[in-house]
Amino acid sequence: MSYQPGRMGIAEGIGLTFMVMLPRVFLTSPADTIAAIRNIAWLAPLLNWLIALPMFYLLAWVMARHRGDLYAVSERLLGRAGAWLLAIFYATLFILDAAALLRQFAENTLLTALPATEFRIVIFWYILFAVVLVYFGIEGIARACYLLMPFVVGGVAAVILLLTPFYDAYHLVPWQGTGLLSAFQRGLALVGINIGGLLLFVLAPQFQSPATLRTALVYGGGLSAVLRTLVILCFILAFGVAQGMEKTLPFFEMSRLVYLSRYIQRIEALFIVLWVITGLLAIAINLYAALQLIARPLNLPSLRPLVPVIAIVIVNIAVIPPDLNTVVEAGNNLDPLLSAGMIGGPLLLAVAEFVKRRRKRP
Amino acid sequence: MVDNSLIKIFNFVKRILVFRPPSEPSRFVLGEGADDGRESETTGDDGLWSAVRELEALSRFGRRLETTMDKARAALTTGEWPSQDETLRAECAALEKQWRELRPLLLSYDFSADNLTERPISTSLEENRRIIEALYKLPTNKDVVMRHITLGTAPPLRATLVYMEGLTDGKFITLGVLQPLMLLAGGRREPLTGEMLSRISEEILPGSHVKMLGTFREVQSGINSGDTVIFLDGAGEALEVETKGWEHRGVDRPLIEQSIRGSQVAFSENLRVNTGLIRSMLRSSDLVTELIPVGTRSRVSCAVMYLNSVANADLVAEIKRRVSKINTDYLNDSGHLEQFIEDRFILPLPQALSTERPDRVAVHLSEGRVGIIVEGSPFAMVVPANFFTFFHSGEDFSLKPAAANFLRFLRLFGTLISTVLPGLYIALTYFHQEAVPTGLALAIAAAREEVPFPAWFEIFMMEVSFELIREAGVRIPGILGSTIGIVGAIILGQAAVAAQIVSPIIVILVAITGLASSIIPEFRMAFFARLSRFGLLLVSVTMGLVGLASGLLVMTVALCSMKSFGLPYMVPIAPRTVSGLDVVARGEVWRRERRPDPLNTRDPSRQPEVSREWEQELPAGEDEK
Repeated sequence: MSYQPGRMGIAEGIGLTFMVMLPRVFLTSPADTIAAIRNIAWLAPLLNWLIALPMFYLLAWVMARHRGDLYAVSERLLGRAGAWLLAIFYATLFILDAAALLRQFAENTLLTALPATEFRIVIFWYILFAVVLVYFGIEGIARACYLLMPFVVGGVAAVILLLTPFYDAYHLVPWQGTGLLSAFQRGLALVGINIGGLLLFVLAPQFQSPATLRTALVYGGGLSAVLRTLVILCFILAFGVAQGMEKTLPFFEMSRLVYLSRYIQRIEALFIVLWVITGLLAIAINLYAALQLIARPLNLPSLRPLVPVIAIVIVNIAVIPPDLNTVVEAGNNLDPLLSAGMIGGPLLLAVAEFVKRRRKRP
Repeated sequence: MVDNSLIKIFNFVKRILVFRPPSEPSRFVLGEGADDGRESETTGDDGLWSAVRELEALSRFGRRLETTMDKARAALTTGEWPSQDETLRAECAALEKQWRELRPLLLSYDFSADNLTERPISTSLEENRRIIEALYKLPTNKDVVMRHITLGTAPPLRATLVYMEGLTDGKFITLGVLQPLMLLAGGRREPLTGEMLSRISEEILPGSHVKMLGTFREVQSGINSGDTVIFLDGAGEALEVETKGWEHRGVDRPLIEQSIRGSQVAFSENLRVNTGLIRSMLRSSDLVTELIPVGTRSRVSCAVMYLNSVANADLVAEIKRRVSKINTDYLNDSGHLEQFIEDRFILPLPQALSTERPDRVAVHLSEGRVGIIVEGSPFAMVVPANFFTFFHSGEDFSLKPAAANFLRFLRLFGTLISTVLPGLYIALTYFHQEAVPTGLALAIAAAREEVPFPAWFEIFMMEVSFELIREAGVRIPGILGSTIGIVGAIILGQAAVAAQIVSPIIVILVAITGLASSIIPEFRMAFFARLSRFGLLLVSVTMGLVGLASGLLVMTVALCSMKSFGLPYMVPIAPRTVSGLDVVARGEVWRRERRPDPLNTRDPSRQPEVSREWEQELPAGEDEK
């Protein structure tokens, strides 16, 4: 593992973007959104994607005018100190995101799959496997993401289809919920969950061109946003807003509700495979992104020695919250920070590019 | 002590009563003796021995010179000079040549190296004989034959033939080498001077392959390959005549990759027969066979075969580079070679397709891959290979797509079952009982009621027993092996259930798993599935479905990171490329217009878009109307 993570194309980009943006659908995020904006909650993922997309395009516009990765472009536009600050800021965001995902997936594992298991073992298990994945390199991870994407989509689609007998269209009304403005505000607040897409810019030289990045972000992120939207929509259709607000893990509850016959019932256990794979991949991708953003400014010859160090940092951050409520609260507190990174960074670089261009003009 | 009567009686009684062990020869213990290479390296006697050898060579030259001078003196004194003129002139010319070889600088260089292999062939037949004797440890070594003859030229010419008994065709040596040399040369009765070796090669020896050799490395290579080397007195080169003729198995039916349709021919141990089989199926002047010798102690030929106008030049160059840069003393099999040239990777997955079927090699060569055959191995390697190649069989393209695809999906399904089923069973029964239908859960519980061990131990025990039976079935010779395998499995399973050591469900599960692993066409891939089954069982025992999912994910990422000779292992799915209608499912043969895209072949087109040209024409008889 060095600075040559491999050659990647649209498929790998789509896989990475999809996997890093999807996992929150398996966590408490959909329930929180329903609690916040009620019946219109399904619109929030689409809106936050539509807000994130211009930011990605803005960054792709900047990247198209310079050669190199996000750090190299930042160095050119903001100077070395600015690039350092930006890299450290994003590395921190990726570490915090990885820690949040690690803790939430570990908590979910305890809640749904392994109630008798010791919490520390679960945390250790997840971070161990994430480290192993990172050791194989981002090229392998990206290809695995693309390879597994149809299974994840198929799994989610299967749950959505199998719940058809339980859907009640009246659960969606009043369709505006707490109002379109609040839906937009919620979408804006949650725009940070798309921050994983920035990894593509961190690894920009490994992709063929800025057009590859844009295509990968549109399709990968778009598919993820559509799935998140569908899950919330079907969750509301199946449970209604009042009941839905009380559920901690909407997707788990949806798969638990499946009953077609006495042979096809209580299939939530089988979907554990699905969200474990998605969660592990997302943690590994975040870990890799953080490593890359730390190693680049420090000009380290290899990422490998840093892997256990950053993994330990992530575990230590993940175990800070004492209980599940604090975990959820901490996750909610992290969202604005992620959103700031999602919007602030691309805007800053675009403004710097704009100013620099104007200065160059006679 | 006084040897009195009492002492004598005491000794007598002692001899009767005390046990005296029979005398045995002292036992042999293999230790690091004086012949240990590490010690001999530090003796520092090399310089001394070189000097001794130099002096020996000079004294031999001196003796030869003395003998010649004696002959000349005798001829002059007895008046036989005119009749012996030619002979003595030839002898003097040979002595002059040998003297040039014995110049101090050359002498010092030739004899300084302990390795005789690098020495050039001497003009002195005596020197050459000595070197051959030293190289092949003659006369201790009985395999090497040195046949000394005299050619009936005027003057007579001494020659020595060297060949390996058992590797050569004795009849051909007699009729094709010895007879022409001894009779035809004798019939001519003319001096063989000047381009002596060329004349013998071109006019006398009828063998199809005759070439000149300059060093003893080439001489050894020829003799060890079953050829006959001819040394002639006075010539600084030797002749190699192809006389290969060792016993080998004939072309037979495939034993491992049997097929219902398609070719019924398999490789044998003979390299040239194997390359010929491929060539007989891929009759193209574009098919290139390059022979690369591998091994420092035993030079084994490796044939690298490819279609020159199709295969990627970089791929061919890389494979040739890897094969030619192997530094080992001995190579005995294609599997051995594979480990020397493949990329290092943590998972024990095959990186090259191994096949005993020439038709499969021919198909892959036509797609732009490279075939490698090792002398003495009845298996050819095809590189590069991707994950899905190992689930294809030789007859897939001989069947209709529906049948072939059904079999391919069955194989992949079998692989999945073989890898995952025990782990999934443990995960569900240990951690996620709610996912098991109630009736099945009750049946499992009832079957396990009397079993004293945990389920994971049952599975582990039965899996190990199954592996033991399988290995015993392979190792026990003949038909007995398969009989013991079947009987062992039935008795063991039945007895284990009757003794309530394992539950019947576990026996069924292990039997299905074992059967499923046998469905994988490639043995090494099946072996990987067997190994990974134990790994997944372990993670499932530890963390249930979370463990199973983690294990499967690591395997997937590892597969996606892996490469076979520069080709991503999971191509054409990850990374995504044009599949060429032959990945998991295969398409109609007439729709496969392009060769596999990831191979980056020189000629990507396999056939035109319309390959069934007859469809564009009127049916026979219609055009006449």
